[in-house]
Amino acid sequence: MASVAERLQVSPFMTFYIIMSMQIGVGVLGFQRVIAQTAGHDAWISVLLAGASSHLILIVLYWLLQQADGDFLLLHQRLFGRWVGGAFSLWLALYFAAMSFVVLRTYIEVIQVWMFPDLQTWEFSLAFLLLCLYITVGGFRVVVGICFFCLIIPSYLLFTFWFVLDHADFHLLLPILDHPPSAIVKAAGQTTLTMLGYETILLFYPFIKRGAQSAKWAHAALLATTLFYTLLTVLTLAYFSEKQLQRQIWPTLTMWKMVELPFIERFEYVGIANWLLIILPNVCLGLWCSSRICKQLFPIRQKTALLIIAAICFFSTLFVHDRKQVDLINTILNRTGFYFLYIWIPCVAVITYIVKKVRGNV
Amino acid sequence: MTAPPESVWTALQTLGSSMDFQTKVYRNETSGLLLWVSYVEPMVEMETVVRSIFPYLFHCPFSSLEDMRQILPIDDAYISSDPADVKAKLFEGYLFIRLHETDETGLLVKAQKTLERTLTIPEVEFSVVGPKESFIESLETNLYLLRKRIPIDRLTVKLTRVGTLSKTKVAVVYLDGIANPDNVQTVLQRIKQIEFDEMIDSSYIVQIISDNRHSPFPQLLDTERPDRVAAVLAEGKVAIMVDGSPHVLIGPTTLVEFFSSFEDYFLNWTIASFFRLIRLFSVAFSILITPMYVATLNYHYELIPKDLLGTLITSRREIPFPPILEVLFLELTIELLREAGARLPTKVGQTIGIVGGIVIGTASVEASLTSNVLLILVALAALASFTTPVYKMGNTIRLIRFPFLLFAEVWGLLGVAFCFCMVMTHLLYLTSLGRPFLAPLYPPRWRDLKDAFIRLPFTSQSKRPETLRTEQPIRFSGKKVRKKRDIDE
Amino acid sequence: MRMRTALLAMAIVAILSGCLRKEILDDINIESAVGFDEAGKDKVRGTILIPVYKKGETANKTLTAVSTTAKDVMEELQYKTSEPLVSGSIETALYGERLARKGIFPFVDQLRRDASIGTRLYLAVVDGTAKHLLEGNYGRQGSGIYLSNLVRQNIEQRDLPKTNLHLFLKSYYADGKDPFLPYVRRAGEDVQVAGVALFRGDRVVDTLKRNDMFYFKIAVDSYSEGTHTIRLANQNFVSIKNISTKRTISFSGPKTRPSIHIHIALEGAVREYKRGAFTFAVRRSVEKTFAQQIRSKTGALLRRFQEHQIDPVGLGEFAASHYRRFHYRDFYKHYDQLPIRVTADVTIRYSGIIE
Repeated sequence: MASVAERLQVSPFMTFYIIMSMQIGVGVLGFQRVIAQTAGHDAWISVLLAGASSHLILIVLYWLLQQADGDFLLLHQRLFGRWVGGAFSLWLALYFAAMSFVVLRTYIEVIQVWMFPDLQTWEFSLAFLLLCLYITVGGFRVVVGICFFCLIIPSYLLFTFWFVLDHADFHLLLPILDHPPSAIVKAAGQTTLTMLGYETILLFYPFIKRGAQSAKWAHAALLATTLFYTLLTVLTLAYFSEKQLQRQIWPTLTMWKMVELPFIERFEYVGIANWLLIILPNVCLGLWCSSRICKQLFPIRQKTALLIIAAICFFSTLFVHDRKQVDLINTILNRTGFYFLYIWIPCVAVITYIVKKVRGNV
Repeated sequence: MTAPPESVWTALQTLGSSMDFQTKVYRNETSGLLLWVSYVEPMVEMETVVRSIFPYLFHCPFSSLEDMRQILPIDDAYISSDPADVKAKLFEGYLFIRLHETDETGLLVKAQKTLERTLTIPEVEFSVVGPKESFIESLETNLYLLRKRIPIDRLTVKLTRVGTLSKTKVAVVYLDGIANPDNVQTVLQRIKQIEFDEMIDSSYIVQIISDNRHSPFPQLLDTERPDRVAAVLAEGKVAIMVDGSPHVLIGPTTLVEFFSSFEDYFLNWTIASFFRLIRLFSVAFSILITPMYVATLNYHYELIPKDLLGTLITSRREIPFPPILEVLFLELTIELLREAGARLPTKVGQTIGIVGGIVIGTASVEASLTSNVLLILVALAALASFTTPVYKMGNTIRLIRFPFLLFAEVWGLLGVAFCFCMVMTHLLYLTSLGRPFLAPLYPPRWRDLKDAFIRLPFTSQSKRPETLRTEQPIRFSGKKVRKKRDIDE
Repeated sequence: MRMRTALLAMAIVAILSGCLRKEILDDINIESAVGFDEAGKDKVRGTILIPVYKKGETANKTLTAVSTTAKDVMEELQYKTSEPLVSGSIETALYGERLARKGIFPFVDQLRRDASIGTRLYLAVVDGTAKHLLEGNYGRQGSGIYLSNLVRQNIEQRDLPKTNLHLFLKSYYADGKDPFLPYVRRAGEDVQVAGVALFRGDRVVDTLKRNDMFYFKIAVDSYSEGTHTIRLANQNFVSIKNISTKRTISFSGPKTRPSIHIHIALEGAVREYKRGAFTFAVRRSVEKTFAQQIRSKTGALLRRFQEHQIDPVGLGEFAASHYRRFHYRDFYKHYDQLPIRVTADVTIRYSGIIE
């Protein structure tokens, strides 16, 4: 069930790009504000904590995949029976579809606020989803190609943060650990949304050649993402004063307002246009994972499932109108992801372990 | 397709309806035999016939076709009674000699006329240093040029004929034991499956056997340099040579190869790498600069540095058109100039190019139809698009600019980013003979990057490109250990 | 394959059907500076500066309108132009002193909320009215560029500490710091930097003169390329160039009543000394005098801040980074009585070409 033809597989090294490009999405633009509200200038420690915990969860994920011979949905089926297991898998499909939809709608909001106030949601949504369909129809290899390029090409944006250093006061981060540990941990939970993305490994593991060897690349991706987020948080905390940060909905974009290159002023427009490349793999991979689950659960072709899911995403974007609603869908996704990764996955692992002990194997 | 003629006699009758088909009767002086000699006049080299064949035919004693064959000094002579064969050979310039008018069997003697261009310098891929031989239209000469550069037995040539009307000879050339057999098989199979009537040129073959016919990006590299073909055959590629075409196709190729000129290999690697990077930059510049102009002027005035703002505004002040119309006007003018210059004979074409370029450009600026800033940008972009060494890719670059312009007009910078994603996705889908077109970028092959954007020295290129999956990856042994010496030792 | 082509075609069609509002470069009025003044009771006068680009020199045009809030003023101004006003290129925002003494936050906030305005723009308080200043014609490239270059040059090479919209907001929102802005004045056909305006919250409470700016900047910011002239004991003047400073702030004592020690390390060079040779003794005397001046003048400034209950140096913020569980309230309760000690270390070298 979990074996895929070799010509459709990619090398394990690609796992790095898939996971990292999936993790870096829309959350990066504004996550600092929420965690600074909870943990103040110690928020960067929360990010490190969240990153560390994601490594642990990834180990559990890989273990589950080994147990299930690469097919996570099969594990659901074996543990909970056909119907209940199928229900859980369907819920997972909804989750991935929701991820695509939330990322897309949040990005559209950013464009509407920062660049083109009169951009119609449906216009951009339609065009973008059609592009994503064009990509996903080509199969996993094309999606991975997009992940690869859409991580490498925008990576030059890292250097733009050099210009921000001038206005950063690092003494604002002192004293370290000045906040109660409960606040730091709570803020770590709030970073989940930005760390989400690596659970897609559950779906694309069969498409990796020599799957077991991909673990080191996946961990490398998590490490890189964590480091990147931590550095970004440190920079943000030094750049803004606390209350000022509370007033910024998108601190990263505001930081880009300070960047001035010799031939481009007001770099944030370039940054936002580049961000299209960064969210493209997020939406594509979400659609791909979701349709793949549907293909395995229902007797429909993946292409059909893809079209249906994309249509659902499109119509959903039309129903979200303002800041509050965008915030709401982001929070819902955050919570859902958190519960899935930190509660559901450990539960499944424990159950698998018990079942394995009792039955001998799953 | 007509059914093959039933006999040699009917075949000759059909041929007789053309005025250039001759059947003449000669008498052999010595034995008194009559000889019926048939040939297609334009295809036969009369001098060879008169000098080398007729003396023997008319004066030597023989009594049968077999004797004739042994006497004649021409090597390629054989007896045949197959009508299809006779017809084919007649059109290749063979003489058909029979002893009686109604004989079905005769002797085919080669007397082929070969008229071809002399070897000249390459026109499209001219290089300042390095050999200046280029392929010509004759397949035999082309094979000669190739074989003298790889004089070993592993250079295999497989010949087929393509085209029902043209019966063009197509040769697939590769190094046995080095080229991947899958690649070779793919090529051979695809060529065998071609159904076409008049196969004129190798570019017809490209369009028919390409993996993705609808893509503006070329997927097989064509070259007119024998040294380039020899070099890539040594890497493990497959070459397709077509009789009548001076362009030889090479596959499988990748995108980065279309931006490398063969001259890079004749220069020092640092210089070559520098030129390659310039080429890449100029291509990116050429595609993006006018769309950026449109996007910035339409939507993103804040991006322009303050000092430049004044210049741009004053240059655009009197112009009645929006930026997109300005740009389209200039782009189309340049295309017109180029097309017109290509159609006219050389001398007139050059004049038109200069006159058109300078006069129209200056006049339109003075008439305030376009701004001078934009004129410079468009001219630079046009120049930059011609830096691609492969002509076909240059055309593609010019084409690609227009979607970017449209997207920039509608969605500004966002549109440019969107169009970029679309182009990138399209490239991801492309394959060349089944191999990914974007290698060594994706799937990343780190070793092949040594010859992609920069060119590392030959000593570090001791392995053949991974994308070709050759059978013998090692070309030559890499490093020789040098004795380490201290200063002044 | 056919699906792919269809998808591609649809994507293209979807996009081309879209229509966005354009702001074509030569069809808009680009504001390069704004200014706000008081205009009677509860009313505000807004002035905007628009460059008129021509071949050669750029001319300036100003537009004024009076209304109740800043936003209204901008709306009013739109009625007065044939081409739409866009604010994405504003480089300087000026506030008349009288308005600044009443509070400028609503105006700064409006700048901040506009997504098309950058955060690098300079704010300044005008000795007089912003309208009067903006109506002048300065420089060859337009007044807007002139004003922003004026402030930038003074920050980079003279005695203005680093300041822009972002830094103003950062200090404003910070609990442990108060903002400050350049204080400018129109003088005929030029604009001069007359000093620094000090804020408590968003109101101006004090202004520093030009002589004090040097001693202010070394406490608040650091120099990398400054100049200063000091007077020696024997009525000689020495001009010290290439000044680079570093300030260290340390605390001791309980967090409710800390003792503060500010230490300035200064390095500079003397290029010319007219009264004879620049001997070692002369150098020592210059160093000592300079250090003494820093100690007394900066110390005086800090005491002045304490009296006015303002904290532009950000001592509260530094204290927060030093003590755990720090509360600003306790710190500022006794702010005016906190002992502040200023010490200075001056190193001079001689780098002239003539001995």
